[in-house]
Amino acid sequence: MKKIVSIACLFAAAALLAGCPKKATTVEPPSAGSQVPGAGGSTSGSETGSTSTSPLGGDASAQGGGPGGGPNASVGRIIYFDFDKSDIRPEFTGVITGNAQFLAAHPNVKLKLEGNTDERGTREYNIGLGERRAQAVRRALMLQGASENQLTTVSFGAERPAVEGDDEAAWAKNRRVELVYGP
Amino acid sequence: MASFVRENSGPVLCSVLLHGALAAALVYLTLVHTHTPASLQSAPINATIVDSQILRAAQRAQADASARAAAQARAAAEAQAAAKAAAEAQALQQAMAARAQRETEEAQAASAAKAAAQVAKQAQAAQEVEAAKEAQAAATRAQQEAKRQADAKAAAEAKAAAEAKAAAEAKAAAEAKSAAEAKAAAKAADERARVEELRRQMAEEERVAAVESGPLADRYRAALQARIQKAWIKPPSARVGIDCLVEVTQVPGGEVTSAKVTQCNGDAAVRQSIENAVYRASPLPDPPDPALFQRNFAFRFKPDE
Amino acid sequence: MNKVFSVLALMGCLAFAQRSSPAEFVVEVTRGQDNAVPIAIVPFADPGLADVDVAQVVSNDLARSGRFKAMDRKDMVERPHTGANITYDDWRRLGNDYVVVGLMTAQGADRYDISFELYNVLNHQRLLGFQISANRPGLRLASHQIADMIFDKITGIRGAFATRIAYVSVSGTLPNRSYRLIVADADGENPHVVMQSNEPLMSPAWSPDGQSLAYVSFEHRLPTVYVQYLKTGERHVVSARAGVNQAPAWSPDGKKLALTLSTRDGNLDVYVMDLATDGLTRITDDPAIDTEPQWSKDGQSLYFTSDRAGGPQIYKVGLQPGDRPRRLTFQGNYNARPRISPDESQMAFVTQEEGAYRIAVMDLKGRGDVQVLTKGQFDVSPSYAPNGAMIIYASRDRGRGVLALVTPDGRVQERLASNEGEVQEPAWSPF
Repeated sequence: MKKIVSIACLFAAAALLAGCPKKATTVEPPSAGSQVPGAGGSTSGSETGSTSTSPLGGDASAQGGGPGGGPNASVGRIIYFDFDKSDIRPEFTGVITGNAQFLAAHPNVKLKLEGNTDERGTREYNIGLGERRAQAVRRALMLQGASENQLTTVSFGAERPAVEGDDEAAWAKNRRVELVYGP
Repeated sequence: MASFVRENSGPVLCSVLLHGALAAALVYLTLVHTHTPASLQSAPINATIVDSQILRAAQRAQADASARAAAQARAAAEAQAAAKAAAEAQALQQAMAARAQRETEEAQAASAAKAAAQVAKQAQAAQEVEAAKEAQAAATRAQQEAKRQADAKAAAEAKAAAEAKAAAEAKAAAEAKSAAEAKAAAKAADERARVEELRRQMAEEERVAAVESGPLADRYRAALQARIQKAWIKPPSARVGIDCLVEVTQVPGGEVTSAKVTQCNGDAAVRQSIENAVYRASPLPDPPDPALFQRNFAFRFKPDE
Repeated sequence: MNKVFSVLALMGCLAFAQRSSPAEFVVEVTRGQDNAVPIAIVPFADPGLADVDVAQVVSNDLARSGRFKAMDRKDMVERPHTGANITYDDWRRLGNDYVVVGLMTAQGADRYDISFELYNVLNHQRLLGFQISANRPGLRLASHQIADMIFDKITGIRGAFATRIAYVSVSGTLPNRSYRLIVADADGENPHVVMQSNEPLMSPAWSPDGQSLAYVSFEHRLPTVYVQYLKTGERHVVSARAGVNQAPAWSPDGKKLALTLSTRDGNLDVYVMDLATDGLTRITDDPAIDTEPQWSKDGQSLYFTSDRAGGPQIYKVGLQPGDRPRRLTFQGNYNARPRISPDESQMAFVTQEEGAYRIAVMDLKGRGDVQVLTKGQFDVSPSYAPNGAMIIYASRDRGRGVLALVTPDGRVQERLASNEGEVQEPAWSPF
């Protein structure tokens, strides 16, 4: 019985998702002027999926409840790191496990791992650090059952902080990898 | 030409006369010869009537003979003439040779005379030198003589003085002694004065040098250095290794009238800055000792940082 | 005999003394003042219609260079416009070494003739006299060109006042931030938006001919390298490979771009791309983060950041196959983002010192001496002016991103005034 219900839920969720309109964040058309890019410059249709329109603030992004949207809200979607480190702290192993199991169970679900750093240091090296963190999470997930083709990584370095501020409280919240579900 | 004639009037005259004589002789001889055939004396004819044929023959023979004689005479005359001509030619030749020789001789004589004259001159000069030397020597000798004489005289005088001294011991001795002493003293004084003068000169120069390298000069240098270092706006390119000289001219009072960068291994900014620095430092501080005032001197820019 | 000897001895001493005294009196000067050269730029005679105060722009330029102290015009008792009217002693008394005078005359409705002269107040020498013709919109540029000429004449260094800067401006608050790529005059005036996005923009890099900008845009939520031609705004994608595409750097001949790409497993390495063929050559191949490449002046080597030794340090590698990277920085645990001075005599970079990030320079010609130039907490992104006489960088002031300037010897530091929200990532254009 439980099985039937869960399968039915799955089907329902899938149907729901199929109907969801894709939200595309487009770039505002650049202001007029001779030095501004023409039509080719503005972009359109960047796929982000419903869960990542406001990834900032972390937990609020978890909408969960379905395979495309990832596991339910009890499983965290953000992993935080120590300064200049990319190893996953023990307190986040639950996050890894939870998400890995979900991914293993839903081989068609894709997950994007967005690596971030705090603002200190040079911007381009921070892109590298963010990527390193995302890769660490990716490897950990794969070790726990996720498959390679489900995971992509991207690094924003210090460019998309979650919290503004020039102190450790802010910085600690910015050194993170966000798990973003969606195609 | 005229000067040649003038200079060698003797030989020229001789030459002219000779030529003239020769010419006259030649003319005379030529004329004489042409006018005087060979003296032919016709042979007396013993006229005996003879056969007209014989006569004619004799006449013919005579005529032949005379013709022959005439011919002979003619030949002889010709020969003689020829001989004479030859003789003349020879004489002419001789004369000419003689003339040439004479000319050469004259030339030689002239050059010899010249040389002789030169030699004579040299000799004269040498002689004069000699004479001068002689004279000098003589003079020296004379001087020496005189000196000797003087010395002798002095000696004699001394002797006499000594004798006088001997004669009048105490007074003479005293006088001679005092005289000698005075002389020596004078000489010593002279020498001392000279030495003093030298010493004074050296002392003065030493003083100047001492002032220039002594503590007063150091103070002056330090004052100038402080003023210029305050005025020099160092461009970033004035780094360690820069070594530049600025020749400065100032007037009393310290106003700078000229500042010229001479040697400098710095760029345009450095050169401009050090030239500006000298003008900005004007008027320069007065030296502690007026003797130290330098109308022309140099700043040497060598940053140590 | 004794007297003779003594006299001779004295004469000998005298001669000796004369020989040892110096021929010329020389004063050694071993230091000076690190001040700026005092100069007075007298307001130009103005027909009254020009909307640019030429003398003020010139004055600000020269003062901003750190090498000049421009006299405040309210202290000027006279305002001559030609050399004939300059009373040198007065200007000298006010402490100036140089004075600039000039005048503007209108030529029709929209054109001006600006003539100016530069005089050395100390020796009364006229150093410059020029006339420039400019239309109304070109008056600022003409002013910068005048400042260039004066700067060049007095310092011997080519002026860079008529150049431009590019930078990123961020406005709005999280999560709705707006990013703009801006090109402005070197003094920060005249900003123009070149590109705008809701996603981050990074790493503007001028092409050597000053006509194009390469930059990184996250507009697809993925870092992509673009090259945009400034005159038309036309741009094209240089690299949009999976993973990281970033840190574009133009080769000195403008034909290649060094950049950072990531492999499948996220390993960042430095590559060189041929812009004509899109051909890629891999330069580094190791598990470390290798990024932030910069070209040497001869185009034969790359400087880059790598943390193969633990923390980020700066390395240099030749571009021939088989060349191995050579480490350049050894002081401290964090040295990144090299930028090479135009004559390659010096390298500017970011160093971490007591927890703060500061701009440092390394002497590339001598023993590799390092000097830390700034004292802030977050001083990053240095970029050289094309004459090598100034470095622009990003700093933070009371929590706001600002642009600042520092001379390569650290003597002079200034803030660049800006009305933008937060500004970062400055890049100074070539000449």
